[in-house]
Amino acid sequence: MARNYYGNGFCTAGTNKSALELLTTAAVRPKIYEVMVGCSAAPASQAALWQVQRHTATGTGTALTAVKVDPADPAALVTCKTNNSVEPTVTAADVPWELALNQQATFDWHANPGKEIVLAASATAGATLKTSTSTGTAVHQGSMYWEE
Amino acid sequence: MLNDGYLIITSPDGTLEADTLQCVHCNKHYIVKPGSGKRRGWCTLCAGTTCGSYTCNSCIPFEKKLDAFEQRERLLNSILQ
Repeated sequence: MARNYYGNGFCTAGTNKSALELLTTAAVRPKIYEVMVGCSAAPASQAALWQVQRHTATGTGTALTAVKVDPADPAALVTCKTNNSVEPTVTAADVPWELALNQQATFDWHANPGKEIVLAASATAGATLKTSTSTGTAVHQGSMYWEE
Repeated sequence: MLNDGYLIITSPDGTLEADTLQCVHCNKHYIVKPGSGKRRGWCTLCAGTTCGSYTCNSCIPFEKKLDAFEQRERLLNSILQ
């Protein structure tokens, strides 16, 4: 039976700035089914292009513990990082989700069951939620829910 | 057509809701915008929508791509060990 987890990260918006990076293992194919992004900074009219992009090598960031949706579940196999100082090596053009968003707006996207973003079962693979480009430098928050 | 995902954007100007569809060949979700002029596709073998990208025109199901990636990783790991 699938188990559900989530991670909440943040980043300073800019060119290729990861808010939340998921690193899989060879034991599981995580399925991302919900993505949320918002900004807690003072309202300003700036825009950013948000992407979920697959990567083949992890970056350097602050380790984050994935939260269990069901407290009775074991710890997540996926590991998370946030606010990366070194970005992961992404796969060009492999962007399963993207949305341009004004800083004053928030979005919540979720996939129907069976239509999730599936990540490969590999120790080097994963996906990152990041700003691909941004006109501002405000701190944004991003969350992803996944099952494994 | 049933949607594959759902999007809600809230802003000072109001709330926008939209359906998303998923490409059966690359796993990408895209927002459905009737009248946008963007050409999407339909794979008769997979019986699902495609995103319209040139690389997704030929039928290689996403599951098959995942399997190939994982097999390549296992092979590389066995060589390096």
